[in-house]
Amino acid sequence: MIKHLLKIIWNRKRVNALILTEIVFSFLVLFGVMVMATLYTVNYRMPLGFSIERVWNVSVNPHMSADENKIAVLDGMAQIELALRELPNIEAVGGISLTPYNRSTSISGVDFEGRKINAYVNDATDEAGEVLKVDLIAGRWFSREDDAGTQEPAVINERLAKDLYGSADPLGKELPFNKRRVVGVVRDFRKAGEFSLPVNYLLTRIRTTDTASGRFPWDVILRVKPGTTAEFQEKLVKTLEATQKGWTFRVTQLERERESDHKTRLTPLLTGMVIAGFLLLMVALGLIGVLWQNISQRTQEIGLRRAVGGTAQQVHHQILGEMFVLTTFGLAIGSFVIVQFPMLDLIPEIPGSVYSIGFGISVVLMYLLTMTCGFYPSWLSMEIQPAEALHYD
Amino acid sequence: MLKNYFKIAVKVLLRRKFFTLISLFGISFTLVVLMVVTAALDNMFAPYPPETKQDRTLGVFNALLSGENTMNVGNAGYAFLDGYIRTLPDVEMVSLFSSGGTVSAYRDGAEIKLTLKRTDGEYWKILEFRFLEGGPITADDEAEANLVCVINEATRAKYFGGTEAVGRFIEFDRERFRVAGVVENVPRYRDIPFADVWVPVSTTPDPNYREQLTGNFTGLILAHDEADFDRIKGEVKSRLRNVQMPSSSYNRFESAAETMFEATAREAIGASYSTNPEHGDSTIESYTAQAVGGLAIATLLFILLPTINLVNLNVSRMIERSSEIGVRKSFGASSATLVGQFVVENLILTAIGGILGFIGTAIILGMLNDSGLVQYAHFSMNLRVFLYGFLLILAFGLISGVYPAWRMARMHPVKALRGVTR
Repeated sequence: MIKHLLKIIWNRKRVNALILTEIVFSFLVLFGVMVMATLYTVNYRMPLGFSIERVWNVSVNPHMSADENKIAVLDGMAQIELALRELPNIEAVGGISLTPYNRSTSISGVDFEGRKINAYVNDATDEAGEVLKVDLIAGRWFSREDDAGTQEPAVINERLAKDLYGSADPLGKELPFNKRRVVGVVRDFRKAGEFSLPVNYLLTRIRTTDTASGRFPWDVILRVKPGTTAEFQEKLVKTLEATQKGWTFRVTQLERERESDHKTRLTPLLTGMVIAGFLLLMVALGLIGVLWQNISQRTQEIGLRRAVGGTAQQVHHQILGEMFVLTTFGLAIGSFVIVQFPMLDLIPEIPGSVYSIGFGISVVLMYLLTMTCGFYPSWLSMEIQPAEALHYD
Repeated sequence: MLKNYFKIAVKVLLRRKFFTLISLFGISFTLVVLMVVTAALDNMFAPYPPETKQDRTLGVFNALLSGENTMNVGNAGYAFLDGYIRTLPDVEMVSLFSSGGTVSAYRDGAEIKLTLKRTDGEYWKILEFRFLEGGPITADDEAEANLVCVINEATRAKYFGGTEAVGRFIEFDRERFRVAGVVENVPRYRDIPFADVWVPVSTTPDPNYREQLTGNFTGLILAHDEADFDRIKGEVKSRLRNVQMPSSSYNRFESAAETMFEATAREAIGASYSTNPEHGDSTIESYTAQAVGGLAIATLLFILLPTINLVNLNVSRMIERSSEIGVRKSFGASSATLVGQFVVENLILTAIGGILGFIGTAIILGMLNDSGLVQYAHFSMNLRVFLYGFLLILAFGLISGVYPAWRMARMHPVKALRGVTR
């Protein structure tokens, strides 16, 4: 049966070559879009590791060089925290260097047991864990206990723990990053948000009382009580401006930051999907047209088959079968191109599983597309009467 | 003869309406996508007000300062621009302004987020803003650090409820600024003139910016003529060598005068100053070539599928025309004549698709402007976009028409008359 179909396809090779090319390119377009969509979906479903519900961010600008005025800046930060704690609408106050959804990143890389290990680094205060409700899976967050320790504490995410120590218990281990000691492991800390790629994460402790290290939490994060409205922002800024003369403050609500982050990340994907959708619709309509035209060209052949006893059903199946074989060829050629991506690791950010899912979805959709396009023309072929075909000239 | 071709083309198009419809859908959709992109690029990079003098404007956008252990990459700093760019000889004018930063103003407790730029007086001479009321920030305002500002229409609507604003005050960053003028909104994608509020550079609370080689400033150079660009670029490059390093721990300083397109191309290709050891004009120009090449390749890849689709449809419709071709050939029409006829027919079809494409593009641009996706977006079509679109239509029509026409013209007259295509 297949051999027979192949022969028929080969006999009309010029027309079929064009259809084949069209199938290959459509498949590539579909695959590209599906891989991106899968990547977004997979990332979105992974846990964030913290909650930004009702969390606001105050970025602080002291308008002076923090390196030259360490004590003044740290003291100012401490006073700001105190002033915030006294406000009635606030549940918790903490400090952090890089707030969630903030675009800047800081990466640190080390050689560990002969491997190169990278981690995204961030600093947070003791209270930041409570504000962000971090999802601890082992150990604890930073606390006053760490004041006494001789080694600086660190909280790492599960991914970094696995990367460094495999299945061994990471708690209490000395990290290759500045010899910090692991006090806790969080499920994750995806600062860049739901659509970001999973990365290794390392959190270190900062204190506003630590004049020795002179590191600052540039952003104050706070969780407001339920029912707090946006009007509270102005009061917040006025209170802070009264606390520190000459400093300026900017308040943002992380829930809004998340919205705009999602908008910027989803817009290109959605645009791509709409364009690809139209491209495929165009291809589908084109295919229907071409197949329809082909059927009318093959009236004689089909009529002859009917005359010597082939049923309408058999003809129908033959036309669909040809389309199926052609699609399979197209997908095989397309797969040859596609397989280069995971094999050569052309885009290292995309894991193999995402490729497989994207591939599976596009294969199914391509068969669906070509079979649907083939259905109406091949149904038309059933209408061809043997007599009509034999008269044809 | 063309009239005849036209008549035949119309007849053919009307004969099988379903096919005509499919072809038109493919053509117009393809052109819509291409033209929306063209219009967007044109709106981003061609001279639109207030950048009416863009053809003789160069920018000094980025700078890099590095030493053994440190590296600062970012916008140019005030000290560098003030010391080495403002003093460029034989140029009409130089302006220094900061990149946009966000500030919050409050009205009845509600926050209004504004993009703030700090500018000097020259900025308002190089760029020709349309003033709805009042006037620009002047050189005197800059010299005396006057607390004045220019706001855009949207800010006037949000902060003053749309009523006349000149002479009234707006408060942000702990300071009260008197409104000197109100200008029309400038779209977000025009990086140089875009902002909600403009204030004098000298009102910056922290005077530290005056010492910085890298920072958040841009220098805008207005040349007498576009022909001076190479000379100015060379002069900037040669001046880099004289830049005083802030301390002995630094040993390299890089920057360049570029057009907006060159700067965008450099950033888009991701070749920041930091990653490339070879800087200067030559590399910047080569990125421009790469950006243009990349756009061309992307366009070709995109039209590949629609072209195959159209070729496919045209080829498969040959059977319909076979008797016509047979008759024409029998009466002595040459293959070249037939190819010409079919290409013209295809061009007519693409032209109709093109008209639909123009309408579609206008609708999509309108939707984009209304969506609020891009702040103050004002994507518009003009003669230039129309011409680009026309060229695209022509190219698309030729590419998709030539192969089928050649196939048709090659048919043997006897076979064609019998309606056999293989």
